[in-house]
Amino acid sequence: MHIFNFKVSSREFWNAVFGLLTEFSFAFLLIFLMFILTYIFMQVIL
Amino acid sequence: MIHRPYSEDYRLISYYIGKIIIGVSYLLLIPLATAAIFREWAASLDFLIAFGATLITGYLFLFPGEKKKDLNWMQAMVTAALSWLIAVALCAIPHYLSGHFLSYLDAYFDVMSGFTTTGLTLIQDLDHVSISLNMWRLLLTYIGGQGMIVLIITFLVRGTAGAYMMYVGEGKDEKLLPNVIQTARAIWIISTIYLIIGSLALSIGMWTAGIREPVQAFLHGLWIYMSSWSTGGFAPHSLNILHYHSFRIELTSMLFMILGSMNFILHYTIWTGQRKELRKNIEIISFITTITLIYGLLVYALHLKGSYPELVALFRRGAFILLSGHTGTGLQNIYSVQFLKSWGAFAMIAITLLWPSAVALALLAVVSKACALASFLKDFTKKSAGLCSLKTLLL
Repeated sequence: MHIFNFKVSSREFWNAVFGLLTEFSFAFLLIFLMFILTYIFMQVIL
Repeated sequence: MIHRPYSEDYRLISYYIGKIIIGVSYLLLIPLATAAIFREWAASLDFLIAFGATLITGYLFLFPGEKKKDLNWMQAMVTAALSWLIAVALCAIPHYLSGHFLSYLDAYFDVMSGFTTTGLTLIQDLDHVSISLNMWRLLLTYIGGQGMIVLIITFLVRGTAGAYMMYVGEGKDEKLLPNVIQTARAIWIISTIYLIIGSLALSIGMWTAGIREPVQAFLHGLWIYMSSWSTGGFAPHSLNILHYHSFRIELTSMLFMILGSMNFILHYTIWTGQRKELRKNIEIISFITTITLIYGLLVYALHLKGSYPELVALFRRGAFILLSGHTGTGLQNIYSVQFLKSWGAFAMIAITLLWPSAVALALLAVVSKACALASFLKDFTKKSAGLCSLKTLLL
């Protein structure tokens, strides 16, 4: 019973969904971090 | 010691090359169908010729070949290397026949650039390329990102040991599952799920950016997704992603550049429930660290230069170009000449700081002509790849 053998249990399905969401959150947060850095540099430090 | 090949080696190599080339010929059916759907009859003829030539070549290799036993390392390496050279030569046929390349060598270069996700191009008059040729160019980049042999292993090869050796021969070392065929399948499942999500997201982005024809919005969304996820950098327009003038598209593309640059072991680990791995993974830690450091320097440099007085304007250009370079994608949302006029030497040195040899290229670009800058962007992305390799060696 494994998602990558096309046999997906409920737990594996939700693991994959939350894994996907985790990856998207990471990418969003990294871009947001870059925006915050821009703000800090332009409005606070410089 | 150099192993002297025997006739059975040649027959085995020929068999697997034949399999791979036949697999590649099936890929040509996608742009062929696209050409037929959009009634691009001249282009469909190009793809039909290429399909026929590839299929015949595949069978010419397959018929004299024999599969009496599995591949050994030498045979697998030769198979992988020759398959690449032959497949690229055959995939370049529609490029050359399209008339958008000055020579067959240029077409070969473009296909190799696509398969290796390098992103350099020698195409002429990119803005008037047919839909089917654009589909083929971007599809090559997308397949190159996952691995051509990985694709063939997934569908056409059954022997496990030989398949693994060909997989390694293609320069892959990710073992998600003990069985290489399952590994290849897992890579394609992850890629396909992201393909659906990414294409939809970018298609909506294209729609909101002003491409009101649904089919065109979908095609452009699909192409930009393929380019971002595979970190290839090809685009259907000469102005690259700048053509769309859309911050939303650039942001979405940034997301998929980040996600596409993560290795498949990490994707697989996170998708199978070990989400904490994202915080522990050395690649992610080094990625965040280098991005933060370089981006700080870049913002400082651009602010000093006064190129982008507004916060959002600076973030849009700076973050996109840095992520594009750092992930090895090479998409651009500024004109090449703007590197000279708006960015200045300090900003360029900031984005190339971790790659000392690339600094020389940046300085060269500053003092030389503007067109050198387009290739410069790709050059420093290669240094990024070099850094990853160095990191792998050190760890």
